[in-house]
Amino acid sequence: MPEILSIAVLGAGTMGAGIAQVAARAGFRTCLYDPDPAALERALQRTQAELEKLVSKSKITDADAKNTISKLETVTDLSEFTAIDLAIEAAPENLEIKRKLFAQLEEFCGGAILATNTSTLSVSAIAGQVSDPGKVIGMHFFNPPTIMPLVEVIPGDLTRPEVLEAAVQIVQRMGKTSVIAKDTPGFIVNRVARPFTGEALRILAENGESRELLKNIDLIMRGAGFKMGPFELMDLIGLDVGFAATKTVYESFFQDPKYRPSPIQQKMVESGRLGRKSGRGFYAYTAES
Amino acid sequence: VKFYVFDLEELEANVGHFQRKSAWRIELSKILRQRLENTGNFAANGHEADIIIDIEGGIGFRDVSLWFDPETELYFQNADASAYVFCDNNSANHNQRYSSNTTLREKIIGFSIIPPFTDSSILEIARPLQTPISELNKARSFFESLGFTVVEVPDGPGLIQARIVACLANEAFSALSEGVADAKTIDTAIKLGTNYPLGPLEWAELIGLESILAIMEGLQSEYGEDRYRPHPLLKRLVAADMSIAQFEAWKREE
Repeated sequence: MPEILSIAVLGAGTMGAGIAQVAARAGFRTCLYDPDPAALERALQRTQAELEKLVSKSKITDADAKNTISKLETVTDLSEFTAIDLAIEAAPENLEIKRKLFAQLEEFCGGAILATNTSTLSVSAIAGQVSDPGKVIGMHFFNPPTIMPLVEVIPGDLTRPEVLEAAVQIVQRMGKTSVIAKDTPGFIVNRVARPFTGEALRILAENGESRELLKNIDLIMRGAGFKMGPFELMDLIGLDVGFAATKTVYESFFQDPKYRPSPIQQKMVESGRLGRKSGRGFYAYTAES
Repeated sequence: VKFYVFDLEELEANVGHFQRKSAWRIELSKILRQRLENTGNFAANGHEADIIIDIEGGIGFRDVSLWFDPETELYFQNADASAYVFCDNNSANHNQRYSSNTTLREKIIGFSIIPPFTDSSILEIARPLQTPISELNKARSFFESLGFTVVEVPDGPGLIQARIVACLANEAFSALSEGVADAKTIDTAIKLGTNYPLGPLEWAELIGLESILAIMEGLQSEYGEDRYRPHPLLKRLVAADMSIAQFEAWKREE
């Protein structure tokens, strides 16, 4: 594999913007794509603010911050990509959207490695409509990518070994830890961790959605050493994101009851109580918290 | 007030057939003994006890005649039964609390605490249907007097922590079995990807694979749902008395 010098990141949401920042800080020429200029503007502002905060905390130098920003460019059209070695897609978790993007990437990114940041969809399925599925791989970052140290690297069924090796090396250059997971629904984390929230919701539902029990479950699980209780965690992740991931894993396993979503999740999403981002989830949040 | 802790060494001496590898239960027993002023040998002093704690909840009260000698049972019959609170740890075989000895059944309280034991560990207590609230309150004050943070939760197999951790471990066994990744990789991914204090498989080893299986079987039996089916690999490891590391070494053999 040729050396990876430049990385394209597709999608300027929380994940895309975070991955782009991680790539730029690691010294890669980084090109962030989003069809929405406003989303790109927000992503740049957030990145700038985060870097300033790191400088003020002496985590990085002012020169590091300036260097990072200088490595970061934005485009609103895929045709503006030039000399991309690795494209990391962080578009919405929708197979059709991702497949369409990958078909276009083949056109605009030539021989680049095509990576997907999918958390629950099959990497092999995303690669299903490209002419060379051997260069497609999963690189699953965790939220927020700038802080979480893990990247799951998921070779699809047809991914070439050298593409896997290159992806593992890039993760290392980004200062993160990679784990290689088989292309199975939810990979490692989104599958194995599912009962943490799934059982908590189940216990809550069995007991009349008791407010006191909800708080006690969070308290007990924090006592057991978890950084956050399951309900606090769902509020942080976003009920909509969590519910969508749960549904995808459940459907991917052909409705194995182990992964069944909870009616409580659905009710929360449908009533707009999405967690911290909407100001209200299992808990209420003021603007400051 | 006199408290007695059934301790595993004592159980083993009395019963002989005791085979579980419960290092942490011995540790819990020691923690309790350190905090208690009056402890004693159960067989000799059980009839004077106010609180009796069953550290090895997995055996359960159904087998009460197996792990107490007939002489010991006599103590219960002769003593004032209203003086006892039975604390049944870990509650895997939760139904056993309901089917136990009739003279004792109104005295049973479920409790659960799992390793690693830290200052922030919370002790869960639960009240079975036939137990009056007064007994729960006795158990609560008892554990609080020992310095535990006590939270009452609804009764059920594994209560809260042990149930959630057992389900996480069971799912990790299915991922391990399907070759999603090896055990160390699964544990690493979960710790770094979610900030869990321990990986689910190393946690399962710490708690004991038998206990994880017992909780899953308890859940499956109580709910009758496939959701809680224990993974066959977990069952086989328990049956073969093998650790996860031994299993992985076995798999590597040519």
